[in-house]
Amino acid sequence: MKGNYPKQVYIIITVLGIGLLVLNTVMDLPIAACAVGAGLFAYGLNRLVGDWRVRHNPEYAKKLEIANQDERLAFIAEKSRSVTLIIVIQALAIVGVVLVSIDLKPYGFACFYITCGISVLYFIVYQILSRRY
Amino acid sequence: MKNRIAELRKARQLTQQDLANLLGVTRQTIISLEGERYNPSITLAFKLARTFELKIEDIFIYEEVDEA
Repeated sequence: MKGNYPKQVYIIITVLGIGLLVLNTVMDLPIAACAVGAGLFAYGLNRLVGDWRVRHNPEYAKKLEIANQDERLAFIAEKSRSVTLIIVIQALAIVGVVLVSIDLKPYGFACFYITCGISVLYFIVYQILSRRY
Repeated sequence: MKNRIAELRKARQLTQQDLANLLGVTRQTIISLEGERYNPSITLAFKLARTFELKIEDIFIYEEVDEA
């Protein structure tokens, strides 16, 4: 698969996930550790199953290769990213206003700083890309 | 942009999957192209032109949009 890490990386991720989940049953770990464990386990297992399918099912491998090269899917992925960015910026700004208005100023300002940071980052990336293309 | 992909494909008795295989894209991309919901890149437009042995302008109908 294109852009993949070696299989061993996903085995380590899966084992780490299982480890965290097992540790959570014997120790009183924070809920975040359990969530991270479940996430790592699901992600690692998903990639391992995908890798196994690519190796053992040539038809699936060909289908996946075409999907990876398909320009419409790449266009949709890029469009989704840009729409997501716009939604995140606007949502953060709105949440910031709401938090400030209910007197949760530090959290509200944090939202504003993140909004501002993302906007500045967008401007910088835009300038770099406009020079490249 | 309007195009004649469906008409040209049918004239050559190709299925959408056949054309997708020839172009190295998914069948959904052919469906979107035929439905004029997606405009292809210049690379894919050339591939289409070569597949149908036509010029790009014989496949795609460009109409100026009057913005006045």
